[in-house]
Amino acid sequence: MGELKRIMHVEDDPSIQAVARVALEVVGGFEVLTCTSGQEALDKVQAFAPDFILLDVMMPGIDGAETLERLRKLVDLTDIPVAFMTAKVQPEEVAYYHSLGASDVIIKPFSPMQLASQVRNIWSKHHDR
Amino acid sequence: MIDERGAELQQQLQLLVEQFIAHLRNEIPALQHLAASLPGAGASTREALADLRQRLHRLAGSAGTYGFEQLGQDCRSLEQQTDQLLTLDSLEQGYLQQLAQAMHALSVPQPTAPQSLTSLLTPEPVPEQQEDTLLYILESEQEMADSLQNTLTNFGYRVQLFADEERLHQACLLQRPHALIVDFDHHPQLNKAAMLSNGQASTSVPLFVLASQDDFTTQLKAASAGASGFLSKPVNFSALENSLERYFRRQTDEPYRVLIIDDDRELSTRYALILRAAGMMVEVQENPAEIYPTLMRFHPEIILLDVNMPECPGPYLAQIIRFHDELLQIAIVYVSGVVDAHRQMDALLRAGDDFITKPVGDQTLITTVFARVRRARTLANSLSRDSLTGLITHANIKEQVVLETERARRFNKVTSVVMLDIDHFKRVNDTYGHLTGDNVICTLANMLRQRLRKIDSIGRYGGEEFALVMPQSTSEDAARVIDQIREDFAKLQFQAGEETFTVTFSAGVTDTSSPIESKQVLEVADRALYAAKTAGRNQVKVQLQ
Repeated sequence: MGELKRIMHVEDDPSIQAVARVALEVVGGFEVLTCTSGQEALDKVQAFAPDFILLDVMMPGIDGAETLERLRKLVDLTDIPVAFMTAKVQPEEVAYYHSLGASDVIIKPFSPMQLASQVRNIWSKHHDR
Repeated sequence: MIDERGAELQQQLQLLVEQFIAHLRNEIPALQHLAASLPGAGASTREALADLRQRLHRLAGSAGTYGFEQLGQDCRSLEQQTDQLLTLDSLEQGYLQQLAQAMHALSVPQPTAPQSLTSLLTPEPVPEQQEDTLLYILESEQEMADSLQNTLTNFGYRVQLFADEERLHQACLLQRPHALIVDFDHHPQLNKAAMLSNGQASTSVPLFVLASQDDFTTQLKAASAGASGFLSKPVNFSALENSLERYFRRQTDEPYRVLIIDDDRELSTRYALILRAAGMMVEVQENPAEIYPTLMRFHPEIILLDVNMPECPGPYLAQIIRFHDELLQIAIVYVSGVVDAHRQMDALLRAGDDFITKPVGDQTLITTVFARVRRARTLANSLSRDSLTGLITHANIKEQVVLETERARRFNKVTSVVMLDIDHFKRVNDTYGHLTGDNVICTLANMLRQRLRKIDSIGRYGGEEFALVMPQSTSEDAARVIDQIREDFAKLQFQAGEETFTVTFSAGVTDTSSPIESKQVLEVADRALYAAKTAGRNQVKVQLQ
C-alpha cells in the first residue's frame, strides 16, 4: 500500500470545510482538496487521485450515498477508504453506510484536534485487512 | 507540547471561530425570520420548511465542532422538530407558530477568550473503546509514575505522564484528556477547573485524586478541587482501574427511550422537546389503539401516559400493556391534571407505577423520567449480570454462545468461543482471603472488558471461570488476543496487606469453522482449556473439535 497523503473532502458547509481543512492540513500534514458538492467531487476525483475520501452524507444535489456510488464507477476504490461524515448516529444507519461500502463513519461534531488521527486510523484499518 | 505548529494552529483556529461567529450573526436572525414567516407562507410552506431543516442541520453539525455544543444541540432538536413537521400531512398553523417561537431561543454565542480557544475546540467525544481513552497523570514521584503508567497502559488506556502543573496545563489546552489523575501529596493546590481553564465544560473531565491522608479534611479538599474519585495510598491499582471503568461505563450508557401517549398534541410535543434536549430518545403516540406495534418496534423503557383520553382512559391502557408479560419491565407513569387523590389512587391500583400532575415543570419531568429509567436499568442489569463483576451470568452467556454460533453459520462467518480459568485460584483464596480473591476476579473481568471489542460477550461462567464469545474472529485471532491479555495479566501486581503477588490464567479457544453443534462449542473450548491446564497452565490452547 502507498502512503496517506491526499485527502478529498466533500462537504457543502463552508464552516465545516474550513475547520476540516485546518484539522487535516495543519494537524495532520495532509494535502486536502475541498469539494463543495458531490458533482465537483466527481469532476475532480480522477485528476486529484486522492488516497482517502471524506464524504458528507446530507448534501443538496447529489447526496453522499449517491456520490459514492458514482465515484465507484469512475475510479477503483479498493485501496481508497471512503468515510462518511454525519451527525446521525443511529446504529442501523451506520450499518447502512457500511453496506454502501464506506470504510467508516465520522460523527459530527468532530474534534479538530482528532480528525487527522481518526482518518489515519481508518486508513490503517482499511489497509490492514 | 505547545510548539511552533501548535501556535500556528491556535491562531488559525481562532480566526476560524471568529469567522464562524460572524456567520452566526447573519445566519441565526435569518433562520428566525424564515421560521417566523412560515405560518403565512401558504403553498410554499413546505419548501421553506425543507430549507430551514437543511440549514439547521448544517448548524447542528458545525456549531459543536467549533466548540459551541449547546447551540449545536439546540439546532439538532429544532432540526428534528422541523423534520417531524415535514412528515405531517397537513401543516397546522399552531405547529408552525410553535416552531417559530422555539427558534427565538437561539442566540449567537459569546466569542471565547483566545487562551481557552483550543480547549473549547476539543469537545471530547465519549470514548467508544477504552484504547481511545486518554489519561493525563500528574505525579512527580518517578517510581509511582512508572507503575501507574504500566498498569493503566496494560488495561488499554492511553497514558501521558506529567511532572509539573504548568506542562499539564499546556497539554490540557492542546488536547483535553478523558480523565485526570493527580497525586495530591505533591500538588495539593491543584484545581480542576483552573487546570482545564474552562469553567463550564470541565465537568465532563473527571479528576481522580491520590493521597496518603484519607481523613475527612483531605477528602473535602479533594472534593472542592473538583475530584470525582479519591484513592488513598498505597494505591490499590485495581481499585483505581475500577473507578475509571465505572466512570466511563456510566458515560457510555445508551440514551433513555421514552414513549409519550397523549392525545394533546401540543403538550406531547413540548414534553418530547424537553426530554430530547436532556439527551433522551422520545417517540409520541397519539392513537392508543396503535400502541402495540410501537412498543414492539421502539422498546421504550418508560411510558408517559395521559389519564384522560376519551377513547381509551390511561389506566385501561396501562392494564392492557400489563397483559403482556414481556412488557413488564416498562415503567408506566401517568401524567394528568387530576388532582383528586381518589382517582389517582384508583389509576395506580389498576396498573402503573407513578403519577405526575399537570402542569409539569421541565425539571420535574426530566427528573421523574430519569430516576425511573435508571432504577429500571439497574434492576434489569442485576438480574442478568453477575453482581460481583458486572459480567453476563452463566445462563445468559451460554445462550449467547448458541445465538452467536448460529448467527455465524447463517452469515457464513467464523465466531470464536473461549473458556478461561484462573490458575490455582483456591490458593489465592486460602492464602489471602476471599476479599482478595474477589478483587482478582474483578480485575480480570475489567481487563477483559477493556481489551475485548464491544461486540464480544464476556460471561462469568463459574467461580473463577469465564466464557467469551468473539464474533467474526477465527480461533487464531482470538488466541492471539487472549494470549496478549494473558501476558499482561500475569504482570499485574496484586496487593494483600503488605504482600504482593501475581496471578496467571489458562484459556482454551475454539471456533465455529468445523461442523460442531452449537451446544457442543463450549465443550470443545472446555477441552482446549483442559489441555492448557495439563500442559502446565498459564497458556492458551486452540482445539477445533
